[in-house]
Amino acid sequence: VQLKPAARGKYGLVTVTGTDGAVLRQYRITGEELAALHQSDKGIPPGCTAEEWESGRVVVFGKDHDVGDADVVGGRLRIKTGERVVAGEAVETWLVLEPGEWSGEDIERATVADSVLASTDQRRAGVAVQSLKDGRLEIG
Amino acid sequence: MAVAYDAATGGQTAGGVSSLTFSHTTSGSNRALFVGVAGEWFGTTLTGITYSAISMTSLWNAFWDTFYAHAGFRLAGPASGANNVVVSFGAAADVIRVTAVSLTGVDQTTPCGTPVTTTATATSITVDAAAATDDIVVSHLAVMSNIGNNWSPASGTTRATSGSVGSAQSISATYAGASTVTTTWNSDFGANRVALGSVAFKAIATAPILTQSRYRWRNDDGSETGATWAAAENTAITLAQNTPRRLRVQVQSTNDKPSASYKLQYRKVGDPGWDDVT
Repeated sequence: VQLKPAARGKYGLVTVTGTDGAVLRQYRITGEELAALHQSDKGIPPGCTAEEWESGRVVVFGKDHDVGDADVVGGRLRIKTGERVVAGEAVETWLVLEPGEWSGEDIERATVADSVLASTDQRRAGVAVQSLKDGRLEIG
Repeated sequence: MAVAYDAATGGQTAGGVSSLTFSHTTSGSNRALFVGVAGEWFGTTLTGITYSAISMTSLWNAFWDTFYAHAGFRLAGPASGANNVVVSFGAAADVIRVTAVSLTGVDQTTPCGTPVTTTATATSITVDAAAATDDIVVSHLAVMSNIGNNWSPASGTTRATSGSVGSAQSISATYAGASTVTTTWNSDFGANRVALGSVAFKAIATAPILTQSRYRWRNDDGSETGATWAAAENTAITLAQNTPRRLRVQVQSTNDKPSASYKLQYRKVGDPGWDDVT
C-alpha cells in the first residue's frame, strides 16, 4: 500500500437528494472546484442545476482523505480504508494504529510494530498492513 | 416592527469532512441568519462559517464532551436570494449536522441578545433567554443519539432538523418573544445527551412618534374640574405679563414603550434653547 498524506479539501463530494430525501446521485469534484465554490457567494458546483442547488437539496462535502490517505491525530496513525454512501451520508472506514503500534518520523516512513502484525513478513517500509493479530483487517 | 420567520434549510449532514457547503435562500428586509451545528469533531475545530462569502459571528462554539460539540453562528444583513453557506473545520470532523434559519425585521446594529447554553443527559432540557415581545428566540438543540426524531420544542416551532441520520442531530426552532423565553425541549423516547443554545434576535428599535393633537387654555380660577376655560379648544390667547393661566395639551404617541419617560419643556419666542418645566 502506498500511503498518501491527507490534505485539506483534497476533493469535494457532491450529494444530490430528491424531495423525498433519497440520494439521486453522488459524484466528485476536484479540490480546485471545491475551493472556487468556497470563495464564491452564489457559485454552483459542477454537475447540478441551479434549481437543485438553490433548493437546498445539494450538499458538498470537503474531503481531506481519499482511500489510502493517512494522517496522525493524537499520536494515532489513521489510514482511510474505504468510503461508501449510507442513507445519503458518506461513511468512512479507517484503520487506526494506536501510539506504540507504529513508529516513524512521518507517514511515508511509518512502520508497524511486529506485535500487532499477524506475520513479521508484513513489516516493511510503509504501513503495508495485510492483517493484524486482533483481526483489524482493513487494507491489503 | 416585529421579527418574523423567513426560511430554513436543514438536514445537511456529513462525516469525515473538513467543509460542508450548501445553499440557503433569504428574503425580506432587515434580514438575519442563524446557523446551528452539532456533531463530533474531536481532534479538530470548527474554524468558521460564511454566507455569501461573508464571515458569520460565533454565538457559541464549544465542546460539551470530549468528543461532542455544538455551535451557533449569526449574521446580520445577509445577502438576499440563494447564497452559499460554508461550514469549515481545521481538519476532517467525524460527524457534522447543520441547520440554518433566516429571519426578517431584525435590528441590524444589535441583532442578538445574550446567548445562553446548557447541557444535560436527560429527557428534557431548558434554558431561559432574555428577549422582548417583538423578538424571536432561535433555539438550537444538539442531540447525540442514533434513535432520531425523538426531540421537539415544548412551545416553539421546529424549523429545520437534520433528521434521524447517524449518531447526531441538529434541530433549530423558533420561539415567540417575551421578556423571558423559556426554551424547553422534550424527548418522547428516553434520555439522550443533549446540548442546547438559545438566543434572541432583536426587533428593530422603533423611535416613538409624538404628535400634539389638541390644546386648550384655562383660567387660573378654580380646581382641576371647576376652573373655567379661557378660550375654545386649539385657540390661541393673548396674555398680559405675569397673568397666571393653565394649559392642557394632549399628545398622541405611536410606538411608545412602557419604559419610556418624557419631560415637558418650553421656549419663548426668540430664545435660543428650551427650558424644562419643573
